[in-house]
Amino acid sequence: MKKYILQNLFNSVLIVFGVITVTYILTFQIPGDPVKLILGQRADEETVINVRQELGLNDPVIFQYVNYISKTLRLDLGKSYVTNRDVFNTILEKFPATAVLALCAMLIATVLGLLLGIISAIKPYSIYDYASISTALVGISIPQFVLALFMIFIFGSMLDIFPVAGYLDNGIIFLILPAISLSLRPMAITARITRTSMTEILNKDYIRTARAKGAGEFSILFKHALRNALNPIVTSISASLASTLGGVFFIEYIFNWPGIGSLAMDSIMKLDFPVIQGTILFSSVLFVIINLAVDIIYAIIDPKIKLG
Amino acid sequence: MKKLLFPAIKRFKRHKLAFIAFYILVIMVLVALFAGIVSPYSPDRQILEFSSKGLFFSPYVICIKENYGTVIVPIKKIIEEKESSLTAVDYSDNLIEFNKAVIMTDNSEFVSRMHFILGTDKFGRDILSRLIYGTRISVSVGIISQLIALFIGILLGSIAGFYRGYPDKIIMWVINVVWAFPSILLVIAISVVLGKGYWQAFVAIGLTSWIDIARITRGQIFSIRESEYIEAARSLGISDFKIIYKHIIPNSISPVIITSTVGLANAVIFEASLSFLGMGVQPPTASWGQMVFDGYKYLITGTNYNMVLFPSLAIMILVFSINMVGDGLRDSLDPKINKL
Repeated sequence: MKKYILQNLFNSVLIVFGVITVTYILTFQIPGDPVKLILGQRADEETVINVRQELGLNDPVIFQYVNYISKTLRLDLGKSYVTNRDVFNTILEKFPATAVLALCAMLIATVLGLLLGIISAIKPYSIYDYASISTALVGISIPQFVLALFMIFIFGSMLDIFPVAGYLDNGIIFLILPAISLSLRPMAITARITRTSMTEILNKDYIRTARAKGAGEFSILFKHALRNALNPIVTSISASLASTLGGVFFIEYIFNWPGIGSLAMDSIMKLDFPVIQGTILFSSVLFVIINLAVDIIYAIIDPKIKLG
Repeated sequence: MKKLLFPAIKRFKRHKLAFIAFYILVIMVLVALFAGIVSPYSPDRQILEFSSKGLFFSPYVICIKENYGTVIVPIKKIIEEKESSLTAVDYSDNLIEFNKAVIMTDNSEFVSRMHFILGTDKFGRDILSRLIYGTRISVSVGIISQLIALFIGILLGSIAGFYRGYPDKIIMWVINVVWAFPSILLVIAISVVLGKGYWQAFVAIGLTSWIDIARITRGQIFSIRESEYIEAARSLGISDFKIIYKHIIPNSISPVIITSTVGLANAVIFEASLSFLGMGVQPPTASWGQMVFDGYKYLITGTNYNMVLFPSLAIMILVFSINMVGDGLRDSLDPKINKL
């Protein structure tokens, strides 16, 4: 058990190290001059030389790289070119908004996704099955930005029920549209995985045994089948949660939700490199940490994993 | 391979929706290839007088021959028609007289009508033609980026699966690192670094979507190498090449194909998202994501929904069809279902 957790921890540290390296390469070791990219092509000579000096681009590559890693580990992600504020603090400020949105959406996604998936698995090739498969496929097929625009059009413009953009300070109603929009894709994925996993389990011998001994249909479904089908479902839900917590880019941007996603989008529009870099790092590291946590929880709950 | 393929096609045909979706995809690819023939007008021709019109807009125009080509003059109505000249009202309510000798005619009519079935955008460009040309971008970005992804994914996945040990550990590390990045943000970041444009979009999407294929390939080769029928084949003295060709490929390729259809669908979404942000293909080249962005301001005011609706529908239909075909393939290529 201890060995398993330590092994996972070690792997995660290696992955974080890789993530920092990729971010470094993407920012500083790119074809062309990063300073020109930051300042724009028409920057004057003097500024270019100053910025070069400031970023330490005149130092040897190894030195720059080690310097970058040590700065990142001290949570010094630099300052925004636009607002001149510390990047890490800005990200921390934006995190709660993203977290609220992500958790709400994942709650909706999990409940509805499980429900749709189970219905499909119980009555395969029925009208319910086709309805829920199609819903799931539509959910996977809609790009986030299109979905958000449709939501605004239908509920905001046409029916005028929900406010289209804003934050919780103005009431919980602002959460509804973004949360529903965000939940559709993870819901669709959960429904599909639940269907596959449940169908497989429902064909197993021990389900037949349970039926033969006269167990109720409800107890077969939830006690025998669902609990055994849960593993892949939980994995997929936790992966969705991990990626949504790192920022929901298009939905936050279109609904003007003040989270990490909006921050990333804004900084991309303004080519604010320290912020782009910071949000990418933050999202990726958060993803690694959440997955590590899930792995450890698995190890504690499921005794079979420790052997593997 | 034949034994694998024919029953699979038969089973695929049974999956009605997937079969319909397959035809939709074929049509879309044909439309993309023959966009020049299919589209009613040029996707880039701007007629500012026809800016932001709704469905089935069919205005009158007069085509005039000039030295450098034809000029289209939009007119509101004709006041009078003489033997040699034509007087009409244009869109700024001015009277204009045309000399009939310079007017281009296909038939005896001097005034022709243009038909904008899906309306026009804010520059007066035909939405239908732009949709048709946009198919090219979506389909080609999807296919080429998936080819890049398949190449990297299968290569790394099979190296990891065959050699195990250190190569496997290193490749798994790379996979996990790329996996940790939010993919859309990584795509955007790579295209910021590479610059905006068509080829950059391919590379950015291809470089981020190989990981699923690599994982699947590795997993397949891992498990198949261990399976009993491979051991049985080995003990019968069958050569490695024959084992790979007859047993490992047929049994491992279908999950890879299915995964790559999911990747294809995602690539189309990524391309649309990049264009929506103005980072994909650059204007005036038509792409669906960019058309959605152009119309997005009109949507909030509740007018001209056609500018957003049709490109959005096009994206959804394409992605939905790819996913549906993927589902059909999943059912028909899975050898286990064969027995049921």
